[in-house]
Amino acid sequence: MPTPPPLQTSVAALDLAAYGRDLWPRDTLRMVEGLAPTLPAEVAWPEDANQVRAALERAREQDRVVVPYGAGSGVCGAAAGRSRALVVDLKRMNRVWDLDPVARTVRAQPGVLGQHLEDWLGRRGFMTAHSPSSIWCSTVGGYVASRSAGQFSSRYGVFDDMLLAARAEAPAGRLAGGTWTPEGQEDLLPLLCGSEGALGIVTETLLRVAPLPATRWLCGYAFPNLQSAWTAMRRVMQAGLWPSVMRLYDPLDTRLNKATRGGRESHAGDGVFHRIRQAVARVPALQGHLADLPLALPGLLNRITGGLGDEVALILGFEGDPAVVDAQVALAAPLLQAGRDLGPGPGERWFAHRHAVSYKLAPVFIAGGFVDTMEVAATWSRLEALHDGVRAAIGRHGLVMAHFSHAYPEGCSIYLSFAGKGRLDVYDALWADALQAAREAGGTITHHHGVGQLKARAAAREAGAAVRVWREIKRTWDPEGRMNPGRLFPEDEPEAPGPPPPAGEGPVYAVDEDSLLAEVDPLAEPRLLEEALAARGLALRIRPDRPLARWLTALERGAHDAWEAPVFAVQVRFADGASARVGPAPRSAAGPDLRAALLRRATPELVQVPVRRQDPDAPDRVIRPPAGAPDRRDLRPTWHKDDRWGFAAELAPLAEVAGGEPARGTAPRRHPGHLP
Amino acid sequence: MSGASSMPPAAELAVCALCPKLCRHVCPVAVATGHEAAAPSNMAQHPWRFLRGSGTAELALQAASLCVECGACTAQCELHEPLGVRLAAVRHALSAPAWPQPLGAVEGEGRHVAVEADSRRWAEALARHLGEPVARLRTEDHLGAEALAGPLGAPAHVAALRALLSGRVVVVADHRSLAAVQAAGLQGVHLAELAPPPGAGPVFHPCKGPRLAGEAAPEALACCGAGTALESAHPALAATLRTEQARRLGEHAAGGDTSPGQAPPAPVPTRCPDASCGRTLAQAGLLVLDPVDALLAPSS
Repeated sequence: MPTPPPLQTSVAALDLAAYGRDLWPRDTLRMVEGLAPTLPAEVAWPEDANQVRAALERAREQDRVVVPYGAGSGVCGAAAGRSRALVVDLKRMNRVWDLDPVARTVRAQPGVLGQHLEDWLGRRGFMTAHSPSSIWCSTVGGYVASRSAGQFSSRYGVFDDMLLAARAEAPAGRLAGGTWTPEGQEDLLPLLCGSEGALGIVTETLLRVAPLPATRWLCGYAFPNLQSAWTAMRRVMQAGLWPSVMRLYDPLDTRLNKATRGGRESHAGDGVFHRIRQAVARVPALQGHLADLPLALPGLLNRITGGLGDEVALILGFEGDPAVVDAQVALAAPLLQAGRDLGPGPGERWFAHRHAVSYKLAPVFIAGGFVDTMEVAATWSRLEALHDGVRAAIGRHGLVMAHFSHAYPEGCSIYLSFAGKGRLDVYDALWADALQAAREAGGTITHHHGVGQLKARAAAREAGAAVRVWREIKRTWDPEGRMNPGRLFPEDEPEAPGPPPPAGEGPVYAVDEDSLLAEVDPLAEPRLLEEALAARGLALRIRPDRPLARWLTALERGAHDAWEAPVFAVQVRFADGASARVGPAPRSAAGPDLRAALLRRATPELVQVPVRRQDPDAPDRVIRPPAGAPDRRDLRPTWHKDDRWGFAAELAPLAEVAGGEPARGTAPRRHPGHLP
Repeated sequence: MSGASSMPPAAELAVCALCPKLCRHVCPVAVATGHEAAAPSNMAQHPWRFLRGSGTAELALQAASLCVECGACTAQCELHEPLGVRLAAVRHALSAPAWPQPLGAVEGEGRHVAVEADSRRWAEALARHLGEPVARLRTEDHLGAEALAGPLGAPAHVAALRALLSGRVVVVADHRSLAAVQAAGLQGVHLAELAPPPGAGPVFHPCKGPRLAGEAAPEALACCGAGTALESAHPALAATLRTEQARRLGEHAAGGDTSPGQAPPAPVPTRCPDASCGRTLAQAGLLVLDPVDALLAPSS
C-alpha cells in the first residue's frame, strides 16, 4: 500500500501574511491605515479527510488553536488571523463528483470555489443555483460555515436548504450529519451549518442541485414607494409562486442603478464610485482625502438623497420549464398592478452585472472612506420598522442605501450598503448602533453573512440561553476548545433574558396575518391545531402526524422539499427557569440552527409554524400527475402524496400545466421520515 | 536590489490590493496551488504595502514572483486592471538586473536562422523540411530575453541582435526567444508555424506561445508557468502548477472534464507548439511531442 503523501504545511512569512485577514471591511480599513494584522503560526493544506485529521493532531501536539479557511471572503472576521493558530486551508480539497440527475444531488469537497462548482455542474446541465456575490472568491465550506445565501434564494433556498449532508473532522472524532447521520445518533448538520469553524472542519458535502433552467423571464417594475412594492412582493410570495429573483431597490439605490430606465444597455462604469476613482487616478494628492467632506457629513448626504423622490424599482424573475414560467408570470401579473412595467431591461442589466458591485469597493477605501454591508431580516409585519430603525442608525454615521432581496412568504431580508469616513471609531460606532437597532426592531442581525467577530456579542444576545446548548455540543466535539475559539458566542457575554411563557389558552397563541405565521403549542395534537386555525380561515402548511415537539425532533434531513419550511421560531424553557427563543423568521445566519437541539434538551413552550389562507368554498385542485408531467420539485404543488398533487385554488393554472386527471384527496398528514 | 525607481506607483496597485479577490478563480497559480498568497489580490498587497512604507522589499518580490503574467486576471476584471504587467514591473525593480550573455556567431548559410535554445540541434532538419539551407544561432539565455524585458531594455544588446540577424528570417521554437526577437524589432517566426507538429491529438497552447492557425486554447487551460519567475522563486508551487495543468490537459484530451481535485487520467500524447512549455509539461508527466521533437523524428 503506497504511503500517503505528507500534510503540506508552511511557516513562510509570505504564506502566514496571506491569512492575517479575511474580507471584513474593518480589517481592510486597518490595512489601509498601515496597521499590521495578527498572523497565524502555521498553515496546512490538507488534501483529504485523513490529512485534516492529521492537521488537528498537529494542532493538539503543538498546542495551537485551529482556524479553518476557505477562500477568506467572509465579511465579519470569522477567519481573520489569530496568534498561536494553525490555519487549515481547504482549497486543495476541491473535488466534485457523483452527480445524481434523478435524486438531484452532487457531492463536493469543502474547498471547491463556488464558480468552479457551478461550472462543473453547468457542463452537465445542472446547477446548485447558489449565487452569492462572492461566488468567484468563496468556497462550499465557507457557505456551510456561514449559512450563506445566494441571489436566487427565493426559488432555490439558502445554503442551509441545499445542504443535505456533511462529514466533518472534529477534535473528538469524525462526525456526520444530515442524511449521513449514523443510525440512532443526533443529526448534527444544523449545528455544523453556521458553526463558523468552531465545531469541526467540513470534509465532504452532499448538495441539492437543480437542472439548468430552460427559460428565464425577467421584468422590472417601478412602484410609487417602498410600501406598495413590499405589498406586491409579499403577495407574490404568499400566493405560492417562487420567483428566482425578487429585488427591490430603495429610492437612492434605484437612482444610482438607474433601475427605472427601461433600456438594456449597461451603466456599469459610469457610477459615482467610478468617477471618484478616475478623479483620484488623475490627482494622486487626493488619495485618502477625496471622501473627507461628503462622508464626514452623513446626515446632510442622507437628507439630500432622501429628497430624491419615493419611486422604487423592483426586479422580478421566474425561470425553469417554459410552461411553468408562463403560468407563474400570468399568476403574478394581477399582484403587481400597483407597479409600472419597465420591461426586461432592468432585470437583464442586473443579471449581466450581478457580481460587479464588488468592484466598487476598493475605490471607496482608496478615496479615504470605508464601505460595508449589513443584511438583516424580519417578518413582513416587522420589515418596515426594521428598515426604518437600522437605516436611521446607520445614517447617523454614513451614507446608506438598501435593497430588499431573499424574499419568503414569511418575510424578507434587507441588504443595507453604506459608506463612511475611513476611521475605525466611526466604523465601530456605526455597527454598534446598527446592531442595536436591528435587535430593537425585532429583526435578526444577520440573514446570510454570519457572525464572525463583528456580530459575536449581538449573536449571543439574539440566542440568549440557547447558547447553553451550543456550548454543550461544542464541549463534546471540541473538549479542549481549539476550534476557532470564542468566535461564535463570546464566553464572557452575559446570558440575555428570554421571553415570558406564552400568554393565552392555546393551542394557537398568536397569528401574524401579514407574515402567515402562527405561534402554537408544540405539545398540542395536530387535529386541535388545525381546528383552531381553520376557525381563523387558516391551515397549516405542513401537516404533522403527531405533536410538533415530537414531529420536529424526528424529522429527517431531506424529508421535506427545499421550499417546505416546517417551522420557524422555537421557544423553550430550561430546568432552571431560563427561557430562550431562536429561529427568527424568515431566515437567520446568527450562528447555527439550534432549534432541534433545543427541543431535545429543554421543555418546548411554543413553536412558530407557517400557515396558509384556506377558503372553505375554494377547495384545492387535486390531480393525478401523468407520466411526462414536469418534476414535482419544479412545479411545487401546495401539497403532495404518492399519486396526487394538490394545488391551492388560486394556483389552478399550475395544475393545468401538470395535466393529468382530476382526482379527489386532501393534504395528507406527514410522517417525520423520508417521503416518497 | 536595484531600488524602487521603476516600481509602479502605489496607487496603481491599490485597486488590486484592496479588491475582494474577484479574479482568484481564473488565476492558474491560485487555483492550482490553493495557496492564499497566490490569490492575485494578495500578490498585489505586499508591493503595495512596501511602496507605502509598511512592508518589506523581500516579501514584495516574493509575492510579485507568484505571477505568471498569463493575463487571466485582467481579462476577468471589470476594471481591466493590468496586474500582471505591474507585478512584472515590481519584479524588475526589485530584482538584481539581468545581463544578456554575449551573442554567438551565426553558423552556416541561409535566409532562415534557427535559434537553438536547448541541447537539441534542429537547423539541419529544418533545412530538409524547407528544402533550402538554414543557418544556426545557439543561445543559452533565449537571446537575452530577460534583460530585454527589464526596465533598462539592454539597448546595446538590441543593437547587437539587429546587427547579427537583420535581413534574415529568425526561426525560434520557444516563446522567450520569440519575445527577444520581437523586442529587437526583427522578423521572427515560430517553428510551429513553419513545421507544425503532426498528428490529430489534442493541442495545448501555452499562454504566451504562438497559436497555430485555427486553433483555440481550451478554456480550462492557462499558463503552465514555464519560464516565469514562479519557476525560479517558488519551484515547489511551479511544480504544482505544472501538475495541475497537465491534469487539466489530460482531461481535455480525454474529452471530459473531471472534478478540479480528481486524479488525473492517464497521460495522452500531446503536441505543444512551444518547445519550452512543452518541456515543462513533459516534466509533469505528459507525453509531449513538441515541434522540435517532431522535426527531429525519423519520419520527418
